[in-house]
Amino acid sequence: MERIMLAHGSGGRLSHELILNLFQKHLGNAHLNQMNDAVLLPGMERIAVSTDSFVVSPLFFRGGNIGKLAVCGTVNDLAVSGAIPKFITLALILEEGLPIEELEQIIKSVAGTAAEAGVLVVCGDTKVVERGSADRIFINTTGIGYITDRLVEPKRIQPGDEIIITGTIGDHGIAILSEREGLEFQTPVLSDCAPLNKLIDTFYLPGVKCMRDPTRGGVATTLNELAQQAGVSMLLKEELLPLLPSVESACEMLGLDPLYLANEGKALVIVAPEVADEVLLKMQSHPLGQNATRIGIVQEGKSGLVLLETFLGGKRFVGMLEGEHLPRIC
Amino acid sequence: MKNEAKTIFFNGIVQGVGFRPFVYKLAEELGINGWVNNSSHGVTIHAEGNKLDLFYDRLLKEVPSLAKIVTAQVIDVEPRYYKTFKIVESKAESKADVLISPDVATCRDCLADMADSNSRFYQFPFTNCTNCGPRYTIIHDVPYDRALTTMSEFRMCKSCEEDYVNPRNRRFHAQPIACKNCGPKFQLTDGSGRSLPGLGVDQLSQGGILAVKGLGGFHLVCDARNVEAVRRLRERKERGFKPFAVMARSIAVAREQVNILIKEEELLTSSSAPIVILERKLASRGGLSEDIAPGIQTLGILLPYAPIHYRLFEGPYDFLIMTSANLSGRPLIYSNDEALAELQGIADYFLMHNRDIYHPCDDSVVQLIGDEIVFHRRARGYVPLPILMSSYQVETPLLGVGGELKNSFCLVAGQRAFVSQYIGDMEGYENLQRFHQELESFQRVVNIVPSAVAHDKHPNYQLTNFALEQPWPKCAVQHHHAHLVSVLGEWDRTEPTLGVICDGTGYGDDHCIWGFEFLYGNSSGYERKAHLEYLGLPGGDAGAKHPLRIAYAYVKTLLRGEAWEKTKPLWRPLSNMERRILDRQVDTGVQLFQTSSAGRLFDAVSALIGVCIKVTYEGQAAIELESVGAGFLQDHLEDEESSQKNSQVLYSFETRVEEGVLILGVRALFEDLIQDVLLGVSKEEISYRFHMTIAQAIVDIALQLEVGDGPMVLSGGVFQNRLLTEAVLRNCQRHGIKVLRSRSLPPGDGGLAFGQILIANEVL
Ligand SMILES: [Fe+3]
Ligand SMILES: [Mg+2]
Ligand SMILES: [Zn+2]
Ligand SMILES: [Zn+2]
Repeated sequence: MERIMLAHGSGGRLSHELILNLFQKHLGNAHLNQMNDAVLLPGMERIAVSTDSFVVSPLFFRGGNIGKLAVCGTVNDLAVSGAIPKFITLALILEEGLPIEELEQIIKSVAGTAAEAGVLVVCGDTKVVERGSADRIFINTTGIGYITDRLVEPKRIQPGDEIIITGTIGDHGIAILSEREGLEFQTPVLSDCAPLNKLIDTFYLPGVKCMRDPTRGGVATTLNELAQQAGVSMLLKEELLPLLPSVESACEMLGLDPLYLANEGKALVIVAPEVADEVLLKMQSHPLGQNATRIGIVQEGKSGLVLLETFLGGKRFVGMLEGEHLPRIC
Repeated sequence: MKNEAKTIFFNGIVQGVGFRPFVYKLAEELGINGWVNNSSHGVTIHAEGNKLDLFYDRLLKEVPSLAKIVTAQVIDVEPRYYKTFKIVESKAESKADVLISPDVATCRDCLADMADSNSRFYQFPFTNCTNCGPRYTIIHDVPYDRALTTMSEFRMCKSCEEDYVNPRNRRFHAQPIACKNCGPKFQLTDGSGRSLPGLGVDQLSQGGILAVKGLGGFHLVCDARNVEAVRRLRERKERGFKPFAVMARSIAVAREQVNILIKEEELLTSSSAPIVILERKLASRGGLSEDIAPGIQTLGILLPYAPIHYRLFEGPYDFLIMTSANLSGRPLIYSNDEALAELQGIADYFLMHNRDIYHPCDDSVVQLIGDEIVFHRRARGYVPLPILMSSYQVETPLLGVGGELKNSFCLVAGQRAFVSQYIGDMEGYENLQRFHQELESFQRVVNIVPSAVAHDKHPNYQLTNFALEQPWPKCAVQHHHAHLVSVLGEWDRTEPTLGVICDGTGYGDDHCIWGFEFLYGNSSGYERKAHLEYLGLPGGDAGAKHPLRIAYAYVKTLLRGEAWEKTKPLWRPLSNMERRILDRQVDTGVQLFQTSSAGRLFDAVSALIGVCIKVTYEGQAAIELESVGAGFLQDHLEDEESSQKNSQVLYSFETRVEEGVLILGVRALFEDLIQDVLLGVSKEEISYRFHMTIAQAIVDIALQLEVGDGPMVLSGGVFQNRLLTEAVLRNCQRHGIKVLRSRSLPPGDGGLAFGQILIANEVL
């Protein structure tokens, strides 16, 4: 019997297959099938909607907590879809025994982050389950925004376009891991968790073709999805990847690939080459985009193929996340 | 009088190797009439006369050196009363079932031609004949005929044509025949493409680095005694400490640097002309640059094998670096355009010719271990010779894709398995492309189109994905099972056998990373009888590049309390942060991969005793560890055979049974070994003791397993370690255990694909 495994939720290939073979199969419709993070609803006066659930261990980490994450995740999904987030809903599943003080801290973060993003929490729901039926607190948020004339979708991506990331890669993944496992690197890594809508408002230009937030599965998995949907190939350059020194050394010690680590406050932006410089400058003028940089280009070639040019000049195949990376050196 | 006419069929390597002229001459000598021709199934002879038995005997006995008869059949026929013996033109059959010869080192006769100022082959750097020259590397398709080789571009001159059709000439039907009037040409250029006179001898003499196009691809070449040139080459190639191969002018000159046994001499001077790994003479280290093979006591030596090499040795040097021209992690460069583009800034000069290479093929690398040849890399000179089986029969033509690193693949149909040349590490995208390219062209040369595929069980291997995408039936094969069956297949044995597989890493059935395994089985299945205890490998492949981290994690896991505290001084090269993180990894298991790898055990010991703490090429820590241990043997233990002494130097180890499986425990081994380190015992001695201990443990466990008195297979890349392997062989001999090892494939992952197809053949 096939059962749900943790990897089905990791945002990698198994998640992708689950969506295709189960959710789309039974629930499929024109909106859902776009497989976008947020969907624009025609006939609803330009309304966009997105939903996300949040489970994270630990609940509190350097740079944020589950409450902040719950707002950012949904706001960002709307924002990278070209919408302006306006309202969110907040549904909580609480485990019996959760200290009220912790809950209050989380809710304060929700409030603060919502204010920063300029969204209002407009309705909510709370369920409490018996001890052991949940891990302290699970949160679901649904975001509602309105559609702008920003035309961002994978179909617009063309060979020659440039791939930009709004900042350093893998911070959230390493922050969570080191917090959870008690790993102390040179300088502690902070989660990058942040709402991106204001940053996007700052740099958006019509030459921006597509945006995504590379959360679970990381930059690699997100670019794989985009390359497949757009029917193009992509080439990244290892030397261009922005990495905090601590993230770099964490990856080197632990044998992790930063391209597969989660980010919660970064956008991947595919732009026409003629506006790349301008978009970059605008990004860099915003506090959340200071480290924005080009990381690669879109190419002709096998649809969905993502390659990385390494420091040594050779190329490496960058696939979707597939479980953990097991040792191969023989 | 006896029956007067017979038809004889020979199959095997019988075309393009001077077989028909040989038959012709023998027939003339014995007064036999009839004919000989090439057919799609080999060579057919119709012979009439009264010395037919003698004729047949001598045909078998005196076959040309490059020929290999695989099957022979004789039938009695009615005589037709021919008056002469003739070579009949071959019928142009579409697909021939004939084996293609590997490339062959230049023969003596051709060297004599090159030295003869009256010959049109005088100094001609492409001279060849039916006994030597390019074969596999220039062949597009079968049958082997000039039109289907990269020689088709060159039109024979009148003299060459005369030789080509004259059965008494050494170049009769030599497909790549050419002379200085009609053949390919070399051109020397500088980095900007400007033509220069000569073949680069002056440039080499002055310390220049040349990119030279040879038989199977480009080499980077420089004077091996020029310290400056060698250092520049190493820097430009970003090669870390990986040793360079050295071409010696002659075997006599090579002897100044290395010890050469008779069997090693045979290998060096064989028509395959591989790189042979040889023991360096301690006394003469001064001669060659230290940068050639840093940290190790061996040298990879090869002799000139193509006419151009002899021309290069017209210079005043005795040794040339001859390293494959490929950039780190990328495939061998074999076309002029590629060379000019990619070797810009690495080579100062380019010596290129206008005959295309069709199958890029690295030099083969071999070593004599326990009196038998062991392949480190199998390519030029050996590919595409098949492994011929009689105990296995493959009905569905199969592809075995091989492993992730040092990949070779295998195509099999019927009773012939063809293993491709070494391709490279599949994590490089360009290497993966090369795999696809060679898979396509190899199918044509060996005339096998697969319709099923075997692959490794590892979920992250690039070629696992490739195999899963194929529309064919597929079979996932456990890595070490394939290593075991590869050896069984080479020896044409099918019965269940105990195999000791000492290896880096392979994906295990329990999702752990295996590597020091005692498997009992055959192509139909196996049982895991014993293995090294599981230890946590921190950071996986990243950790494998930092063997001191492995050592730390292993020792931290194995030793507690005071025993652990005592080891503190050993970890000085690790930063506080590294130690802190490793401590957490050992405690929580985060990014800690449970492994029974033999390779990582050797790596850990290498780092622990200070031999190698940072790895710049695959296997470096273990290779340097072996070198250090072998040095101890050379210096101190001429009487190594004495079992008394052996037992004194061993470290402790323990065996225990867990769930019916025998486990080799190494806690005591590390305790003893660390004791020696702290007492200041030399690295040489510790390494030697460690090797001897593992050799002892292998045989002890084999005996404890009591799986009958059949032979025991040794396989896996760790058995490219001569010090270990020879100790295991001695121990086995002492206990009357017969050993089977790889003989025509590498024991490492280059032999994997062959094992995969034999196992898949049972399952599919
Ligand atoms: Fe292996
Ligand atoms: Mg989402
Ligand atoms: Zn010859
Ligand atoms: Zn000629």
